[in-house]
Amino acid sequence: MTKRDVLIGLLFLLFVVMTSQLVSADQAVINSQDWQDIYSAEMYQHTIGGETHYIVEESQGMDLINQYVINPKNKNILLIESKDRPVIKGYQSKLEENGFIVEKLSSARAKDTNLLLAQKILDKKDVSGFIVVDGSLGYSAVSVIPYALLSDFVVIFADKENVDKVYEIISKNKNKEVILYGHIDREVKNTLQEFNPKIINNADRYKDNIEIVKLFEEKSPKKMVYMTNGEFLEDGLFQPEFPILFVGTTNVPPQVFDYIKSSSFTTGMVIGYDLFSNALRLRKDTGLNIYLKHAQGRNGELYALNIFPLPSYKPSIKIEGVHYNAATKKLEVTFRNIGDIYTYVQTLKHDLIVGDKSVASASDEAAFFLNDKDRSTQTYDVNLNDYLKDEIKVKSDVLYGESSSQLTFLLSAENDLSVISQDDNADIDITNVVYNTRAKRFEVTISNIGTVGAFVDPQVEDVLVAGQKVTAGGEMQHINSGGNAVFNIPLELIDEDIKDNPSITVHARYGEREDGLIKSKIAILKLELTSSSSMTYIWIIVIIVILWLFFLVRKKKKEDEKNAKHKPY
Amino acid sequence: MSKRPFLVSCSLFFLLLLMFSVFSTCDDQSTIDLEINSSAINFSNLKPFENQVVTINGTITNTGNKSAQNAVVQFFDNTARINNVTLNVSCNSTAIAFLNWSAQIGPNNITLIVDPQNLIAETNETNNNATQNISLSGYSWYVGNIFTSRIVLGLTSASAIFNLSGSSANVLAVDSDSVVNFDSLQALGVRKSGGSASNDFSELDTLLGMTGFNDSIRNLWGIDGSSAKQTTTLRVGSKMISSIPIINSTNTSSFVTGILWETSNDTDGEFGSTDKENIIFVTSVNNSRAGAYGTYDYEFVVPSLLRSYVGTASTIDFYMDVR
Repeated sequence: MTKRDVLIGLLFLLFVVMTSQLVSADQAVINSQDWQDIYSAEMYQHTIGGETHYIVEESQGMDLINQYVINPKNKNILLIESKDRPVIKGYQSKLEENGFIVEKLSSARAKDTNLLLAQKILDKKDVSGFIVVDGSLGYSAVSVIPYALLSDFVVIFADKENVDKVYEIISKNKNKEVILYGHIDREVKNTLQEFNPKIINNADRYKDNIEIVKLFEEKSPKKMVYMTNGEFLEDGLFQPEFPILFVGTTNVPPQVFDYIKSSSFTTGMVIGYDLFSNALRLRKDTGLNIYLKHAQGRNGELYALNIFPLPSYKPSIKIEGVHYNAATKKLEVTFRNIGDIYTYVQTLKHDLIVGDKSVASASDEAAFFLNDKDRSTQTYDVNLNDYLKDEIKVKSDVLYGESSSQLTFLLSAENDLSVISQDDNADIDITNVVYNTRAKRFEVTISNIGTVGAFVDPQVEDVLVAGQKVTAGGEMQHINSGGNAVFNIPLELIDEDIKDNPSITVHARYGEREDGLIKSKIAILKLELTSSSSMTYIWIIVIIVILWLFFLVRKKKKEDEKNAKHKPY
Repeated sequence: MSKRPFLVSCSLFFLLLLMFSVFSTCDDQSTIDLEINSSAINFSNLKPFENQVVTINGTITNTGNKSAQNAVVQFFDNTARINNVTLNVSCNSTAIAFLNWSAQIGPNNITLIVDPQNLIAETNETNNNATQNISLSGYSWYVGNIFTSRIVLGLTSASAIFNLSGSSANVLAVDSDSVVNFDSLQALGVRKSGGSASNDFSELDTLLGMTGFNDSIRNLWGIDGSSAKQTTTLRVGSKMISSIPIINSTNTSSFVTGILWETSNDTDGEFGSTDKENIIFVTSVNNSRAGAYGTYDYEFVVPSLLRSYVGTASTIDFYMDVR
């Protein structure tokens, strides 16, 4: 052995010691505004048994150091930082100034960080497999936490943009189980098909959630369940001891109620202040013991839970008007979607009150679709003719949510009833529906077959897109009597979807009054295809006009020549 | 006036001056004796809170007639060395060694050792160390409102209002790293299947690192290591739990704090270091009662070191048992 060999050996040893110090960091600090960074880091730290601190707001960054939240006795820190969206700039130097030894892991995209940390887990641990989720909303990721930690699964965010990298990482671990959870991009599903994945996708996040809770219970039956709404991260959610059940925000979905009643759970541990009323309702209706995690304590001070909000489904509706139409003897309630996303709405009860007495009530039998910024008037048969001189109040309890089976929000409102008297003679006919493959939209033709002008607002219902039912709406238009109009309803379909939808259900709401589309018609029509757009028609017209002008000029020229020949000299 | 008395007086004065100069001037041929005693150790704050910086000052006396140069003074908190200070102490005089120290929970025996390596030859080498005690409470007090008021303030400025009017509740405090099964709770001092357990209070002190504290669990909740001073029965969830050891949370009887343990991971029938089961501190909510710090719905006394009972997180989680 030469001196050189010894020197190289010593250098290698030094490198190993230094490296082992870096990777032995059991405290991680996440400096990112991207929830996926926090999620990935929490999963990584809980898999390897480390502690995680994340910065929610700028002022908190120094508090973590100054208030000894980051353990000052453990100097090794893994700093996971977003290149583009850190909460605090220059946080590494702040940590180093306070004596910490920082290993930094930084990516511009949180999905890359997720894969880097997944690889770090794979380097350290023999895992059972991968749970692939879509990261556009946070629900799926939260739902799978306990099962993934219990069963040693790595959670990976995948979409059509990073599917190749995801494929690469999974293909290097071919004998592992793959679960595709919740809504997944079609490209991801197709690319990962060769790994024979288990698919959990019921087009209903509550049903998906119940399915993974059941998987958890098969492996590790528990009497207690964590309850949340999937709309925020909190450190306590990252544990393998108890499954996480979604209970909605202001209304518990019936499928969740049914599941709790059929399960052997006796205790629910609720995380999230907004869920308090749901927690009380669950206690009352199911007999569960309910515990609410509500605060954190440090040095004799109470603090709010360190909650990081997730992108989530946040609809918002209001009741815009409540009328009694004496001419039709119908209650007309106009709902407006004031949010940025579609929603389904179903009235539990409109209670009509004179003084303190309920004189009539009405409800919806099924949920109806309400596109973003759109409004819809629902009518109900009630006879209030005996009370027309009284002041009538309407107390409404209205459920709304992402689908008819996910009505997880509750609107309670009280309105004064106004009385109108107006017949509606509008009438329409839904004549055909075409899918424009170039413009990626439905084009619905509707004729006004009534004697008066009509406002019309159509939607295509239950269109199968990647195997899931989707409803989409268009813009309201006015059609004169005897006229017709084409309504464009944007929705992206590929050939596979078009094959799945040989016929389309068109549901049009219409009426004489713009603010009262009290009539509706449904037609199931054979889907026709076109690839031409209105621009194509314009070009055709332009070409025809040019050709016509060309022939006109040519004809005139010939006539001029002819006239010139016959002109006497 | 005769000149003689004047001369005698002058002679005596110069003799005294000579004697004074002989005995008071440092003499390179003389000796050093550095000395410290416990009364010479003082603290800038006698009641600091945890991690508050306290200045320790130790007065070192040199009774020798030779100056001590570069005398090292070592500061210890119990057996852990805090730091060293180096100073010069003139002969027949004193010098003060200052050191800033971050106060730690529990009893702290602050020891100063002068010239620990005996680099300075002294006439007496046995008077070079002294110890003074400063003790920090091992507890934190938490107060809060649940009935129709803001419950939490803090880092994220979140607040919540829980309208529990007409209901009742307990508040439970747990180390943030503990994942507790609230279905399986038992009183500390009671075996999983009932009946008295042995040494639960002492074992909890050991697990929390509070053995030797004046305000240890054993000293506050127990008569001895096994038996509680005072107990109560509480309904937690749907279960009535009896024999819960309690103490008043502060100086009133409006609020008491009890101790529970979680039985689900137990293998030996009782709480202890074998399984290090989860520990839960519990208090019942009392609507708008006067406590030591004002009027509120609950008041808790929780060991500060509960935060590091398991894992590394330095926080305590609070749960509300809603009924």
